[in-house]
Amino acid sequence: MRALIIEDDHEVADFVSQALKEEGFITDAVHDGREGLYMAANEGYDVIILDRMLPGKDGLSVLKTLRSTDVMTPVLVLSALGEVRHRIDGLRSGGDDYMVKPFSVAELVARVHVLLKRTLPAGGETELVVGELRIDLLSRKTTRAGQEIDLKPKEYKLLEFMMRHAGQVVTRTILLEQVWDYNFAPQTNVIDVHMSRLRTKIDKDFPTELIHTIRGAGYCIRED
Amino acid sequence: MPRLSIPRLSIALKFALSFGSIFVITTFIFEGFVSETSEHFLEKEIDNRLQTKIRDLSDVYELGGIDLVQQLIKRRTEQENAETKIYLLTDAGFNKLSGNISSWPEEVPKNPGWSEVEDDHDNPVEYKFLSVNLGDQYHLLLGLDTFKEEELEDQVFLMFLAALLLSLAGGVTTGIILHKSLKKRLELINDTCSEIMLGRFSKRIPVSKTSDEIDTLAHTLNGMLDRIETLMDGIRHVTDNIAHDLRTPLTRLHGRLERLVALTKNGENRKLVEAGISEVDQLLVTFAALLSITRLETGELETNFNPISLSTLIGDATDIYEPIAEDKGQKIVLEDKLKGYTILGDRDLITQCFSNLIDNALKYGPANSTIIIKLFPCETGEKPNETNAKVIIHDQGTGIPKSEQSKVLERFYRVETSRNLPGNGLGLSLVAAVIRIHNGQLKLENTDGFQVELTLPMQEV
Repeated sequence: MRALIIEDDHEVADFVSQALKEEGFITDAVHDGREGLYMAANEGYDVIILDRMLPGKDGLSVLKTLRSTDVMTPVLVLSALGEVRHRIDGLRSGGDDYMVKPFSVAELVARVHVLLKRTLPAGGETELVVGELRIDLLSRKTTRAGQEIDLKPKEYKLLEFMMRHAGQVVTRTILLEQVWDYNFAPQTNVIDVHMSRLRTKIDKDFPTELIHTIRGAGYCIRED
Repeated sequence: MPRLSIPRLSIALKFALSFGSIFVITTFIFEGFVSETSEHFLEKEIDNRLQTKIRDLSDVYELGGIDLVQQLIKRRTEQENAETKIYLLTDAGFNKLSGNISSWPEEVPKNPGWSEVEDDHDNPVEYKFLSVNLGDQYHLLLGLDTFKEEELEDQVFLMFLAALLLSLAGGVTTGIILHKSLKKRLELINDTCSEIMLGRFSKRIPVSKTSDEIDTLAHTLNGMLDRIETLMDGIRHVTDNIAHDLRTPLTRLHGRLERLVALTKNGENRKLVEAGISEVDQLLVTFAALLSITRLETGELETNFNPISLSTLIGDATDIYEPIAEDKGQKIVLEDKLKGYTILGDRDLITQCFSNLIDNALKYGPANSTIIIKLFPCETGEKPNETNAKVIIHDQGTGIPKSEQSKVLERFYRVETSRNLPGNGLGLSLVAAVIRIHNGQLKLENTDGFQVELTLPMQEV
């Protein structure tokens, strides 16, 4: 996997670059818009991390130019202006995801994974399986080791999202956005409470845990 | 209770009405004056004519004697229009010598001087007489028909009536036009001010080309708005700069701490760094909330207004908080009468509002208590068929002392009793700012606990 980081702050670019390398990415980092546009258009990247405020050419116009020349590489927009309208602007200009500075690098890595997964063609699957846990996407029936588990609608949605991203770390922010469509962090940590409910139903009566807490990042569902 | 409704007149309408009344009154006074003068003038004219004729005949008598007078009278009575004139010459015993009437009329006194014959109903003809003595032996009587004069007066009156009606119509039309244009211009000022109150500081009052008093007012108001906008820009620049200048170093700080966690194996040290990260995260949440509130208040936060269903949003918020309530043994009861209604609002901001309010209700409501959420439409009371959406969130906590209720809407203010609970003192400030830009109202009340009442204008039924 190749990732391009277009970010004028060298230190931030280094953090991001290093974190992605640890995840097995090959990364390039450039520090101004013009160069970024050239690289993005001419090298085949799998994902682009793009800062909104750049010298040379501003981030959104880089993005628009890319999209108008049919470069459809998924783009995660970074910005210091974390306001509703900027998020909407970023997404409207062709961005696939949006993050506000200061961000946690772990969050960024998790988002990149979600982004890459999302841009894969939908497989037309009718079933999601993690170990002995399976959900039938048509009948919405959830079973673990053949035993049926009764889930509330939002619990089902949460589990489905986790299972679609099995093996990946999903952060609380990603879950708030994807499952509840909440684009802000509520005062109380609601996700942890929901996750503990889901765990009770999925893991409590079984010898192995499938849902794992990843310290400082979020959650991950996997069989190990 | 039925209330007596006193029709409220707009300034423009009052202006038009008084303008019209003055118009009508002036016309009436003028008409009275003119008709009085013209009557007087016509009367004088008749008197003059009678006097001239009498003088002529007296002169003729002095020069040519009674025969010549008789000849002249004869000739005059044979002329055209003679029927409107009366000539009578008598001897000392008032016996007719010549003239066009048979005898001295009863109504006319026999001594020389002026007299009038009043109108009787059958005969509309009215005469004015003047009699003199010619020498000692003769009496001369001359009369003129004043009917023409009356007719003229009537005509003058009719013309004035027509003029009055015309001027009345003109006055009313002018009044309506004035009323409309004045009303329109005042409404423009009002609309602009309302927009500015919602935070759109770039709006200005349109100025027409007439440079009248309203334009002067508009100019002054626009000048004031320029000043306010400059001040707001100042605040905005400061917040933007703080936002930008702090965020990059904070991103680096966050990144470094994360690297440090990855490099630290030692349990104790690692915990310390992790605590550091979560402090930074908390700081960022506070910072973001503060920034949002400032931007909402300065009108800089460009909102994304769409028709939204409060039922759906409150349903989602209740859903997300349900497990937290359950953990505390609390119950959330939702009474929703707003299904199918929409308001015009920013989804993310309203959602955040509801989330903050439910969060507070759960936090300050005691364990095993009930949180009641009510949604219902209610009349605005301003215009018929205009409704507001009301949202009431009630908890059974100790509430907020009345003296502190307005203070909790200020940034960072926290009620003494809640200082030990988690929170940054920005939750209600954000709610207040969001409700304000939605043109709504926020009411806090201690009633068997504590309740927050939101009123938001409904888009349509």
